[in-house]
Amino acid sequence: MSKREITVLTDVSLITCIVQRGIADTIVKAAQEAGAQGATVYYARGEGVRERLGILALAVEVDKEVINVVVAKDQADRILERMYIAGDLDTPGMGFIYLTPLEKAATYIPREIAEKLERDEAGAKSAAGSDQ
Amino acid sequence: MFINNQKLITCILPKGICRDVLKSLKEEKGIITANMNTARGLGKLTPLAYRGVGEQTEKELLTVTVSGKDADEIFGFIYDEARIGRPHGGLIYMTNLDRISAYSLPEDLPEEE
Repeated sequence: MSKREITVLTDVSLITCIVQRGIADTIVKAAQEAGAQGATVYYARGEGVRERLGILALAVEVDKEVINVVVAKDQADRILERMYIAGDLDTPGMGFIYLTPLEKAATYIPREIAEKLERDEAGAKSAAGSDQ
Repeated sequence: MFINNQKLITCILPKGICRDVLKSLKEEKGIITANMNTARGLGKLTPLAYRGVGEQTEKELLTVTVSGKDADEIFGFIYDEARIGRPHGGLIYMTNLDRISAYSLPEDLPEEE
């Protein structure tokens, strides 16, 4: 088992967005403006509709950028929409985006923030108990 | 041919850590269903961020498939091995997988150098 205590985050989702190369920075900027803390971008090669779109199949870039953004569940819809709009994903061949629920996640959380989360959680539990 | 009840553990790590974690997973836990990729990280909290304006940094992406019953243990193992619980240590998350294909290597495969 783990040697130290892990603060596990459970209400988190992963947004994955696949777009043509060179567009990721614009989409990440939109995600950050909507509340995302950061993103991870890597390259991939896409095939499929590209061959059937544009003149001589040259209009759609073969190189793709894959964007991963981990977000809180309550922010996920807003960030997803902003990324969708920023990437013009309603245009055929521009790319696509999807949301995956995460079972759990962990990262470095400063002590004061972890304590605040614990207090908030305890407060929410006691409020729920007094309502019953 | 296919296995049910599996999990996918993904890590976003600072550059230079992933290979050691892959080695530990293989040697200590016998896990060979792991992959590594390179990526760039963008964010407000990257080590190069200045006054909340993010700079990009090199990252490594580690993906590991594990059985559901071992998932929590491996999650903790990777968290420790990759030292994720330190500032700018990266991020680890786990998702459910419906089905994966079985994967094995030949027995007489030489070790990588």
